[in-house]
Amino acid sequence: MKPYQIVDRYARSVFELAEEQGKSETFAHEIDVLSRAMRNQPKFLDLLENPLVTREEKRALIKNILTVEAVHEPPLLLERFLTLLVEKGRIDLFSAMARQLHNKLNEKRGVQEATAVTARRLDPNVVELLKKALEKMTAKKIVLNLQADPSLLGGVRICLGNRLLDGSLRTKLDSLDSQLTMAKV
Amino acid sequence: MLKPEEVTSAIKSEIQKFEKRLQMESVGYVLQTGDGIARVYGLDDVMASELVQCSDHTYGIAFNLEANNVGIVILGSDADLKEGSLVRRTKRIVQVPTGNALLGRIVNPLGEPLDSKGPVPAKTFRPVECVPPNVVRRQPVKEPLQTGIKAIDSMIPIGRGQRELIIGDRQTGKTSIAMDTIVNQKGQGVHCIYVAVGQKLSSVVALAKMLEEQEAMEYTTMVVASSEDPAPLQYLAPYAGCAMGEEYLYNGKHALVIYDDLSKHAQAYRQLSLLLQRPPGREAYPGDVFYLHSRLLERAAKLRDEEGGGSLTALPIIETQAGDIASYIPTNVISITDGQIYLEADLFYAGIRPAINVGLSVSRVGGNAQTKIMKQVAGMLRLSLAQHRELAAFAQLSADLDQATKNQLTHGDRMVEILKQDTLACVPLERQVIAIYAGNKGYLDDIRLDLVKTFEAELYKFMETKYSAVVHDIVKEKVLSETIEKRLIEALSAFKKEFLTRHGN
Repeated sequence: MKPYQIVDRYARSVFELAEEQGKSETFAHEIDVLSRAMRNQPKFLDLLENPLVTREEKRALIKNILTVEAVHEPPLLLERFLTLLVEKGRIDLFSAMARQLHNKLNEKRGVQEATAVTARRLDPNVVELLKKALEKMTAKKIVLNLQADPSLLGGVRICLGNRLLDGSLRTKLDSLDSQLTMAKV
Repeated sequence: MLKPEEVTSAIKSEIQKFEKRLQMESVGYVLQTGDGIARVYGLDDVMASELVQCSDHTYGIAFNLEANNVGIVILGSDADLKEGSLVRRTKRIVQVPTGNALLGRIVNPLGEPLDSKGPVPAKTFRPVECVPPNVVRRQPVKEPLQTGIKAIDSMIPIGRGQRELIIGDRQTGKTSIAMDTIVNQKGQGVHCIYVAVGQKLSSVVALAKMLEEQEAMEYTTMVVASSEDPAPLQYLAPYAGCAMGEEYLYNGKHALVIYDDLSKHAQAYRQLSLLLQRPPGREAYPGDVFYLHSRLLERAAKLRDEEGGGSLTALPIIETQAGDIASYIPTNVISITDGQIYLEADLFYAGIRPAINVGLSVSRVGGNAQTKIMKQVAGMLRLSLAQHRELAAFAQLSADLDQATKNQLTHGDRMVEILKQDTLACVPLERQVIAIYAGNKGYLDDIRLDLVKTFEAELYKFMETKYSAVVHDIVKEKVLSETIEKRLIEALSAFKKEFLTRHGN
């Protein structure tokens, strides 16, 4: 499934620019931090979208925030990217672009993200085993994201992007239930 | 008597058979939901019109496959569906239970029971969408499907495997014709399926009760998607009903499916299409509304004898607005079907019931399927009645007519009178033949118009008591041989003489 074209186009151009400067990793990290911050402070996005706030004010706002956040050198590329998005009125797509950039970096590094949902927290040894097995299956480096959901009862449910490996007891019981209650006379 | 041990062992064996293989599934996540549709991100390799599982017991159909989302219509309630909910592929299309387990049942378009008779113990299932049999597997329509309605069986005959449209304004007796046809199939080996799309539940209940009283539910299934059901179920209902009929078709049996009505079906499909943002066309219907009905009606067929010789007859119903048969959906369905029965409100209110407009009604293949004797008796009936209507309209303008025209008018009036019929008063073939023969040969011309119905009723009784051999021969031979005709004339003359002395005219 393709992302929206415009999101992909913006993300690709800024990613290529970052690569040329050899800063794709730091840039992706910066974007990640910013998008997480924006999710926590939705008002900031509202402010950037607000037509009553002038362009100069917005530009100053972005500059201020980034100089406060940055520890070492100021993230020039990010600042320019944000300013561009504000000026073109595309800032509402920022979180989608951040996700797309994240995917691009993973693709470049040969990393696949996976989510493993289990009924209880897993033993670190088991996690390691699971990771090995998934790496063998996908032939990619796996970054495993662990979640606990007691309603699963047992087993594990693994999400790899748009694919699902469902070995949970809950699903097994549900399908057994539907098979047994199907009318048979 | 059900024993607990038996149940336990049955469950045990089921569990032993149960083995779920762990495999990679394709899933998606709901982006947006509302109005019975959902847009889903993911489901990378889902196929068009595949069944998808939205939550535990909610299913949907993948309708639109777009570049960045999949449009899904939800079968049932969309209340449990939220943004971010998981949607799974099932790798199959919608199936409905089929076979004898459905006889006498009222089910929804997914085959789930709506009556109080417990679960449907079906052994077989069929996908709702199916490729119709091709040219090689078919044969021409040749067996009659008796409706028990004199006007239809004589002038607009329907054959098994035919698609005959019933069209007319609201309240002109469209459903009554369908109901009479179902009731008349008793003992004929025809399994009936009545599909109600977008109708009031109260009228569906009334129909079910009526069929029950007529003992017609024994061979009938009702598929109901009422007006309170979501549009996806209304869209699905005719296909589900057709799949139930196909089970009989492909097993060498006969089925009759009534789609009541396809205008509501088109509206449900229009609703879905507009919500999925498919481009609207004429009257805001989507571009494939013709295909919607043509692929449904093309599944009606008469199979070759080597294929079992089964048949699926389709009687679609279309409701017109103020008699306009030239609007979009009516013209579409008229062009798809093998003929139409056009009911007119004016005729209905003039007391001519069934209110069939003879001039605009036609059966394009049924003539070959008509019984020989009926063809001999009623051959020119449709044309002469159509002429009579024009003449009658013309005669209203002028006061004095010549005797020949007057005679023609009286004869026509008697014919119209004899073709009138109450609902649920099915007339068997032999009676139809006798009545129409008597009318055609002018035996009624000197009977008072208000006595025609009495004449008809008494004639049937007279024939069956005093001349039962003739009646028997008509049923057996199904041909108007010279001997039968001679005896029929003899009987009719005898009866008329007796009738006239009794009623004095």
